[in-house]
Amino acid sequence: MDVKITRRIPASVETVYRAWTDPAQIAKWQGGRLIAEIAVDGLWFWEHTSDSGKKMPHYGRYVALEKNARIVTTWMSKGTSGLESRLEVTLAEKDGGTELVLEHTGLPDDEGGRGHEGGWKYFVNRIAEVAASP
Amino acid sequence: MLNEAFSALSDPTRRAIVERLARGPRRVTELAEPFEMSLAAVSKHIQVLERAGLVKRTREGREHVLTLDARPMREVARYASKFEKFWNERLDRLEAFVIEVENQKEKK
Repeated sequence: MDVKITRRIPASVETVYRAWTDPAQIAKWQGGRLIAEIAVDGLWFWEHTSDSGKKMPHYGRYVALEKNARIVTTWMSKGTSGLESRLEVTLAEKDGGTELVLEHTGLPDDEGGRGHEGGWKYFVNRIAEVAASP
Repeated sequence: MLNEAFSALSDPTRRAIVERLARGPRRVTELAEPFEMSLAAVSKHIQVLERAGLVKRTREGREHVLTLDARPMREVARYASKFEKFWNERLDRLEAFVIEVENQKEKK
């Protein structure tokens, strides 16, 4: 399963890239507690508390860091049920601001932590059609 | 239930069956027509879909009529929206943060 979100952010790519790669800055907007070595193959651990008071640990490894352009990391959490998912953030300058594309891929399709990529894509393409029929 | 639904749909024949049922209920014989396999083989695929909760069977006289059940699909959609919600909230915070950073810079 994949999640893809595109956003226009009224700030420079330099500022947005720093917000993702400076540990002091990450902690400010992500909240929670963060330990990170910002380097390719560097590891990070991030824990925040959910609205219901549950501790939510996340961890991963940076796969690619391209200044002001791209951040790729692996991503594991309770939500991924032990699967190593992949988070890719790409930044591009657009009209004086930043176009940010966030892609979280390789997420499990269900709480059991199994991935059924083909089935998932098929499902998503059909949901609108099926849900619309009486 | 979700796991079963996904493994049921890992097979191309079963996906084709679901696709046809998405357009409306079909009789078993009618459903089997376009497939180059025996009625028994198609029936086996239908049984897998029934066990996964994707297909419901009703009887009209001697004929069995199959209807698609969209509920497992909606569950999947809800699961996906959890991650989308998570990232949309995070990106709201990121956006507020970077705007603040740039405002501070301008003041200096």
